[in-house]
Amino acid sequence: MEILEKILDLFFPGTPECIICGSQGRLDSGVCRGCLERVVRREGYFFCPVCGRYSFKNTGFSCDECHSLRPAFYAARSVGPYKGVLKEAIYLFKYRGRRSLAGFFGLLMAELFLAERVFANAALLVPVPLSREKMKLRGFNQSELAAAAMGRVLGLPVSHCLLRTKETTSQSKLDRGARAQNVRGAFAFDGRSLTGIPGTKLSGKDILLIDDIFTTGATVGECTGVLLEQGADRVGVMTFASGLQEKK
Amino acid sequence: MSRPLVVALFAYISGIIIGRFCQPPVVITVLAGIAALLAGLYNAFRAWRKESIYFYIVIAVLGILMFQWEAVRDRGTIGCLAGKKIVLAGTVCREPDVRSYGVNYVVRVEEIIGGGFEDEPGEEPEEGSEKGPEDELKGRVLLTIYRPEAEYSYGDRLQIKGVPEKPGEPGNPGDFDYREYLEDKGIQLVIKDRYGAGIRKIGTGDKNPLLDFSIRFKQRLVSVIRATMPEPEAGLLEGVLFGSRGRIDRQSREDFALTGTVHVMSVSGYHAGLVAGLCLLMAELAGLGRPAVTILTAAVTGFYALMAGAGLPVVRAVVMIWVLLLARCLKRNYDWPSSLGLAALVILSFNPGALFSAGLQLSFAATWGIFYLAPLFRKPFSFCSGFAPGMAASVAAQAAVLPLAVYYFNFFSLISLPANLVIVPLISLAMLLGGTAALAGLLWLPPAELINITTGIIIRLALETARILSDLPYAAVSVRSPPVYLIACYYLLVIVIVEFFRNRRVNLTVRRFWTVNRRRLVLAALTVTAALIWTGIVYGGDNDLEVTFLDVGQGDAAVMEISGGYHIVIDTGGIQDGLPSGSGPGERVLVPFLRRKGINSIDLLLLSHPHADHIQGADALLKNFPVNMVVVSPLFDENPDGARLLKSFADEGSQIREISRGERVLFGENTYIEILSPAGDRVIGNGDYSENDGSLVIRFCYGDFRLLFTGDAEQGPLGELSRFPGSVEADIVKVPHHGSRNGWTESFYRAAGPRLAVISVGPNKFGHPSPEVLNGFSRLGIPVLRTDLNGAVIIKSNGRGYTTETVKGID
Repeated sequence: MEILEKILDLFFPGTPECIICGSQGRLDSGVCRGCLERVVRREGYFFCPVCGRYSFKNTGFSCDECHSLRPAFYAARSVGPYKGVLKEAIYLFKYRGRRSLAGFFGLLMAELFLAERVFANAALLVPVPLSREKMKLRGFNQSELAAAAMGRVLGLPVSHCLLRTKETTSQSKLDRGARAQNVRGAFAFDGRSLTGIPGTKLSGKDILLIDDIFTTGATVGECTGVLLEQGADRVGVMTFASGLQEKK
Repeated sequence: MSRPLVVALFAYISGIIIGRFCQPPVVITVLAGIAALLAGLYNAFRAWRKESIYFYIVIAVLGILMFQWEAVRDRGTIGCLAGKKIVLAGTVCREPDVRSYGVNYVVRVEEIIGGGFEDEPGEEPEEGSEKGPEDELKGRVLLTIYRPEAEYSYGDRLQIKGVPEKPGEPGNPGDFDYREYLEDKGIQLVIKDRYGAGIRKIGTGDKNPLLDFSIRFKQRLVSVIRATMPEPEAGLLEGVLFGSRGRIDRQSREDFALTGTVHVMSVSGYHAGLVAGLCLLMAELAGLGRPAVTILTAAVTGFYALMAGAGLPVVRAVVMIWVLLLARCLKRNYDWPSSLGLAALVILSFNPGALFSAGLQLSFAATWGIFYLAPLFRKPFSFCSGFAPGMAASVAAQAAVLPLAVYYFNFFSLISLPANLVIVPLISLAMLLGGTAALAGLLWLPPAELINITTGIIIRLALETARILSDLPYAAVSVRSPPVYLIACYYLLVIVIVEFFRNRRVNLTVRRFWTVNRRRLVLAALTVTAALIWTGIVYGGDNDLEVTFLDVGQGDAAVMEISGGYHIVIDTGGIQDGLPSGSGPGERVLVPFLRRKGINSIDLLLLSHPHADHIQGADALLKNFPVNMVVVSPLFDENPDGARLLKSFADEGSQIREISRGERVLFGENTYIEILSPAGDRVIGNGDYSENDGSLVIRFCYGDFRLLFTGDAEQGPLGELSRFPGSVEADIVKVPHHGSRNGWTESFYRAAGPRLAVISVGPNKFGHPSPEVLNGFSRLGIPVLRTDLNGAVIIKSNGRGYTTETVKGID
C-alpha cells in the first residue's frame, strides 16, 4: 500500500500543510496565504524610530528610554509586535523546532528590509549567537537560520563573527536592569568566520544584526558594542518581533 | 512542493537535446547511465542523505538513448528502390487521407513482387543484388492517387506498380522540409498514380481491430454529416470534429490561419475537453455512479483520440484528462504541472524526436499558458462575468504560443484576439450540435438533418467572420523567425514577471537586485541598444542588395531587396491551368518566402508578360500583401488574363504603369531599372511581337553591379539588343524562357558578357532547358545555375562584386 501511495504521490503531489495553522495550501515559505496575511505587521501601531518598539500612542519622537539613553545601534526594526500569529510562529520556530519556519521569517525580514530605507546601505548580516547550552538544547540558532534565509533572498552575505563567550541565564525571566548586567561581556568577536566575505574586515562596514525578539535591547546593544569596537561603521538591528509598550 | 514528474521531464528533454546536438557514442552513454544508476542505488540504500539527482541523470541518459534508438527504429531499407520501376505489396497502415486533389495512403511495404515491369534484362541482376532478397524489408511508402474518393481503406493489402521516388528536398531558403517531415513519419518513398491504374487490392493485411473499428465508426459519422449538410460546411465540421483538414477548402483554411484561429482545425485539448465534458454531463444526467462515469469518460475520450488520428495534441489532452478523472476518483488534488509533465513523458518516450516538432511545442506551450497565465488574466476580464475564464484562456494561450508561432509561421495576427473570441465559441457550439447530430443520425437521419440546419448556419457564420477579418489590411504581419535565444528570453521574461507578482520571494529578490544594480542594469541596457544599432549600421552597409531567384518549379519568380527597404518582385511563378491542390507556387513559395523575410508590403511588382508561369502567383500576392506599384509592358493589357489581373490590382489600390524601352525606374542615385525591350514605338499596332517576345527585358543596376532579366524574350528582341553591347552588358543574366531552344542567341550573350547565367526552370514537358542552350553556355565558358537542380539562387551584392549561394548546393 505504501508503494501505491508513493506512486500516487508522483501523479498527484499533494500540497503540504501550513506549519502554523495546519490547513492545506502551503506556499513556498512554509505557511498558508492566510497566515502570511494574518501575521501582525506594523500597520496600526506606532513605533519608536530608534529602537522600533511599538506603542499605541503617536509621539513622533523616540521613546522615553531611547531619549534618556541613546542606544549604540542607529536603528532597530521588527516585523511586528510580539503577539498573535507572529508570537505563535516564533514559539513554533524556537521551542517546537519547526526549522522550516526559517524561510518564513527570512522572507518577512527581507520584505521589511526593502520597505525600510534606514537599512538601505547594510552590506552584511550578523546573527546574534546562542549560548552553547541553548544550542545543545535546541540544536539550531533561530536567528542564524533566518538570517541565512534572508541573505539568500536578498543576495546579502551572512557572517557568524560573533561568539558567546559567557554562559548567561535566560533573559526572558529578568527585568530591565538585570538584563543589561546579565549579558555584559557575554559576546566576543571571532575574525575567522569572516573569511569568504568580501573585504574580510569589519572596518567601514554597515552591519545589520539579526535577532529573534527585541525586548529591552540589552542583548543587541551588547553585540553592537562588540561590532563597533571591531571597526564597523554602524550597526542596525532587525528582529522577528519587538515588545509592545503598554498604554499609559 | 516537489514535482518529480516535472523534474523528470526536464531531465529527459535535456537528454534528447544532448542526443540530437552532441551525439555522444552509445557505449559511453550506456556506461554513464549504469554508473549513475549504481550511484543512485548505493545512495538510496546506504547513504545518510538521499539524493534524487542520480535518478534524474539516469532519465537524461535514457533520453539520449531513446532519441538515438528512434532513428534506428524508423530507418527504412527501401530507400534504394527510388527511381526504379517496381511492383510491391504492402498494407495500408493508416486511415487514408482524403484531400481535395486526391487520396494519400501510407503503405507499409511487405514484399517486392517484381523489379521492372517493362523488362530491362540488363538491370535485373544488379537490382536483385542491391536489394538483397533476404534483407529485412522495412519502410513505408506514401501512395497518392489522384481520385476524389478513397477506394481502399485501412488494412487493405495492395499490389502497387509504379516508380517510387524520394520526397523532394526543399528548394527555397527556409522551406518546409517535406522529406524530413515524411521521414519523421517513417515514410521513405512516395509513389504517385494519376488514375490508380497500377494499384490492385490483393487481400487484407494486419490491422489493429480497435483502430479499424474507430475508423469505421468515424466513417459512419462522416457519412451522416455529408448526408445532412451542404459541402463547404460539411468539410469544415468534419475537419473540426476529427482533424481531417484535407477536405476543408484552401481558402477557408487560409482565412483561419491568417486570423490565428487555425488551431480549431487540429484536434487538440480543447476538442478532447469538450468531448470529456459532454460525456461527463450526459453520464451524470443518466444517473450513473462515479466509477461508471469515470470509466465511460475515459473510454470515450480514448476512442475519440483514436478516431481523430491520435495526433500529439490529442494524446496530450487525453493523458491529462485521464489523470484528472483519476484524481476525481481518488479524491486527490489535481496538479497540472505533474499531469502536463506526464503527458509529455508519455509522448516523448514513444517519439523522442517529436520534441523538435512545431505541433508538440505549440500544443504544450498553449496548455502551459492556459494553466499558468490564464489565472492572471481572469481579473481584467471579470467585467464579462460568464465569459471571463474563456477569454482569459484565449489570451493566455496566445501569449504563450506567440514566439513559437512567429518562429514557425513567420507572421502574427493582429486580429487573432477578437477573431478567437468570436470564432472559438461558434466552433464549439457547432461541434456540440454537429457531434450530437452525427450520433443521432446513426439511428435515424431526420433529427440529424434538423439539428444540422442550425449547425450549418453557425459554421457559415464562423467562415464568414474568418473571411471578413482576414481581409482586413494588416490582418497578418510578417515577422522574420526570431533566433532561439530571443524565444528563450521571452519565456524567461514572462515567467519572471508572473513570479514577480505571484511569488513573494522572487518579488523581493528582483527588487533587491534592481536597487543594488540599478546603475549597471541601465548602463548594460544602453550598451546593448547601442551595440544593436551599430551592428545594424555596420551590417546594413554591406551586401545591401539581395536577389533571390526562387524555385517555383517551371516558371519565373525573383525577389529583390534593396537597401533603403525597397522590396521588388519580378514575376511570381505559377501553373498553367486548374490547380489540383488549390494552391500554386504563389501560395506555397512566394508568399511564405516573403513572410519569412519579414516583408509586409511590395513596393514594385514587375510582370514580364502575361503567361501563367510568370503571373499566376500574383493572385496570392494580392491576397496577402499591399502592392504599391505594378509595372508591365504595354502589351500586357491585351491578354485577357493580364487585363483581369491588372484590374484586380487596380481595385486593391495599386498603381499600374506601362513602360517600354528607354524608360527607367529610379530607386536611388545608383540604383535603377532600365527597360531594354519592348520598344515603345513598335508595340502599338501589334503583330510585331509574340507574347513571349513582348516580354519586358530589363537591366537592374546597383552601383557597378548589373543584372539582366529577360522574361521569356526570344531570338527576335535579343538579337536586336545584341547590337548595343553597352546597354546589355551585365554580371548576371537570367536566361530567357527557362532555357528554351528558341531563346538561344549567342550574339546576345557575347554582347552581355555575363559571368553567371541563372535558369529558372522546373519539371516540364517542353524540354527546358534545352541541351543546345546548356552546351552553348559551356562553350562560352559561362557557369550556369538552375533552380531545378540548385534550388533557389541567392545573389548578394554591395554594388561592386557579388556572392552566390544556392539552397541545394552546387553539385
